[in-house]
Amino acid sequence: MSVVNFILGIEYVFLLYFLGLYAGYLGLNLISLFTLSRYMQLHVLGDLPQRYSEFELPISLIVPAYNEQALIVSSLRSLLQLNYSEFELVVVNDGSKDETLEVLKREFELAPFAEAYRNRLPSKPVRGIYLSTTHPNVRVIDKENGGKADSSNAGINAARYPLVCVIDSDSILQRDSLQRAVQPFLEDPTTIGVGGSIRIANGCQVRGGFLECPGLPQNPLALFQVVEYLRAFLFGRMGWAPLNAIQVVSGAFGLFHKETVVSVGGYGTDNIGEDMELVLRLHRTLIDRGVAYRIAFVPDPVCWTEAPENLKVLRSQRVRWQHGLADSLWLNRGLFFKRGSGVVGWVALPFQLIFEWFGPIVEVFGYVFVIVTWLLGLLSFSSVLIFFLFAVGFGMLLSVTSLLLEEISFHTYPKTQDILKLFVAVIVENLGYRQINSWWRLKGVIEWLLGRKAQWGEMTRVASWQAEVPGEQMGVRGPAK
Amino acid sequence: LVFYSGSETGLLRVIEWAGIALFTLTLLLLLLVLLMRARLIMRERRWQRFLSVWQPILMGSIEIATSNVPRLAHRDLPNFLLLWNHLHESLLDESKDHLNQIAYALSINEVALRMLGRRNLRDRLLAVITLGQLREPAAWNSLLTIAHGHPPLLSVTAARSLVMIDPGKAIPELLPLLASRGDWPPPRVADTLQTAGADVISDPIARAAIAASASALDQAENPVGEDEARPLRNAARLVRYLNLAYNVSAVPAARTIARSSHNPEVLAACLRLLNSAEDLEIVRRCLAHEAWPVRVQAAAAMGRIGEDQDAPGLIGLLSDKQWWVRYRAAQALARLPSMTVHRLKAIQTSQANPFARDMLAQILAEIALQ
Repeated sequence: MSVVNFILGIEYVFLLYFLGLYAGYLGLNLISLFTLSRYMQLHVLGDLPQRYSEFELPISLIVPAYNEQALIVSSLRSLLQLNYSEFELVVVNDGSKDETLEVLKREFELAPFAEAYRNRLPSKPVRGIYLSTTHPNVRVIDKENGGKADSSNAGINAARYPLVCVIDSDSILQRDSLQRAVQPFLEDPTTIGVGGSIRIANGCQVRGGFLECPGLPQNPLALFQVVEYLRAFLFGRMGWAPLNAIQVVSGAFGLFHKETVVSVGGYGTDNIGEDMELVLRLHRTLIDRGVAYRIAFVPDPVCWTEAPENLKVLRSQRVRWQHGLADSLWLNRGLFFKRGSGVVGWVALPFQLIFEWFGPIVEVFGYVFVIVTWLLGLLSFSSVLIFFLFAVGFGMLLSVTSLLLEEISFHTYPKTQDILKLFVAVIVENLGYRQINSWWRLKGVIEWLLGRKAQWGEMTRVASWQAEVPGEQMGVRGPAK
Repeated sequence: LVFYSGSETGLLRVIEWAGIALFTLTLLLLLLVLLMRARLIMRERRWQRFLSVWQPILMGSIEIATSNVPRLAHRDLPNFLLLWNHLHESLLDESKDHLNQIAYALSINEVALRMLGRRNLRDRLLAVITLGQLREPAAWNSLLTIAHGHPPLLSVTAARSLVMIDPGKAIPELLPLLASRGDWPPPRVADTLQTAGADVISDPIARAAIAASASALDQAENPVGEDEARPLRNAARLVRYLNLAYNVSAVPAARTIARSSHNPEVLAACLRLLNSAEDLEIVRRCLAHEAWPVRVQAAAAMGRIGEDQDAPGLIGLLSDKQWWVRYRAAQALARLPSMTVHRLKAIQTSQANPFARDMLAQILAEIALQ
């Protein structure tokens, strides 16, 4: 084989890879378009005043908290104001080193409570259980530090209601989040899980723990993540949902049928992508059991979360996500091409493996290969241009399509200049941000292949959008693993 | 060495053009987004203008009835229906009549009837809700057809509208649907039944529940057809809705069904309703049922009607495998007529099973907090 043919061959592989990746996402966007159109038509019912009855499904909200002394009280107070007929808050203090438990004891007048705690799911030892004397639907589980998955398991063990909603303690929920997220359970009794659309809170105005006005962040990194969340986490997941092939229900907001989660062993505590791993395990186990089930997705913006605004934290997050993806795929490898696994086993997981797990290797190698061969004079400049045109152009098209879907459906950002700002972000995001992301993800792949343990790291919450505490440092987030 | 360049390769030329097309498409999509935003802004302005005119009129009509209203522009119709229905859903009966007076003055009933035939689901939903609020008899047959069809949210909304138009006529028509439509969200069915009112639903739903239960028993004894479990599911559904009926109808029906049924779902639903000493025999029998949802409801029923002699049965349930059974048994034990904290503590100490001791500790803690 001549050098020319070899280079051409490699280049075609890259082009085919990008073509496959973007065709896949464009396909998901198309499915989202049809699903959204129908969903938005039914929206009129949810917009009218609702009457509650005893036939609503009660929900246990599980709130793992680690070193959250600064925000936990305002978070819980806002959660207590959610519009829903019956719910309880199970706060899990995951061995915080700060005053989280003391603050909770003081603010909610907690009393030690001799609860008959059930050890149905594995978790670190529980040190004590407290019941609020001012809010009968608030309980606090104080346990040794074990991480988010471990705390979620402890919370599920203590949950009393048939549905559990696991959220991050700093998640900002819409007042009607539970009302919207519970609908798939009411409409289809085979529903076992519902993911909610997660949006970026940076740049928004938040008051009293609720989102007052959506806005875009000034910080370019956070702005790029707004586009990324739209593209991958909203319309990506929405495209998989009608095919019953959702692979992730975000840890920031996920509603599950408790007994089903318990029956598959709850959150895995020995891997870092516990939210994805649980969903894949649910698919795998229920397919094995031959049970009819559905994992749904609610596209309404039900939850807002803070995105990292500096490179160090973002890098750590992305490396961790890549570890989580690899762990989840590996632990559930039995689901690949499994008989009867449908779209999830035959399309969604191979897509994840090729384009999300293996993708960074192809992308980074592709960029380096093209540049090096050009520098060596083995590739013409026009070929280099064409390569980047494809790699970048498709990315832009995809992101703009997501922007279009957002405008068709929720038009979350009210100002017209927000649209222009997002469009600029769509362009610029593809010129550096995406490539650096690929690099971090490649690092995650290599670390995972070398068997290195991923770290949760520490994420400093700035919460500059929180009206009550402007600019204050909100402590550290992310329990130790 | 001679290497290729883009201009020399036909395929690369195609790719080059595809790239240019990509960027052009991207720009066109942006233009589309901006056009949609412009349309949204215009719609929002129109909505504000509409509100400034119609909100005072509709709000005013809540106090004083009026038919003297300005002409409604055709393109304001969706806005009007939204605002009008929103107010309707938030109001009590008398003011609803005033709102209807305005709607009839604007011939909204005719417009809504025409909207029923549209393909757009949103328009049809709005029309169905509107016709129900208007209690428009001319819509009866169309709504009945929709109630029998799909999608579930549209059909259950049509069922509610039928109930609004004529509850007495609608309930007998809808009961078979209420029983068989597993795809109707229970809160919406409950809303439909509550809209009809306990006066209207109590006897028919009690009779239907008994009949469905009997049919389920027949089916269990002489299985016919493909889906043998369907009659049972229908019966269970109707029994669950019994608690929206008056006790005087619901409790005897639940008692009758509980005496004959062995299905856990049906039994559990019946047990929720039993509330007098004459039900003790049924409840006691269910304490040992193999299905834990039945044991939970039996223990809960004991909390309402249990006697001191039921203590041993409840103490036995303190060691049940299911947390909820243990919890309800402990609660029921604490509520027995001559039970005291001192006796509860004594029972707790005497338990060999740690789960039973823990559960009694929890109940004692709850009593202390009260």
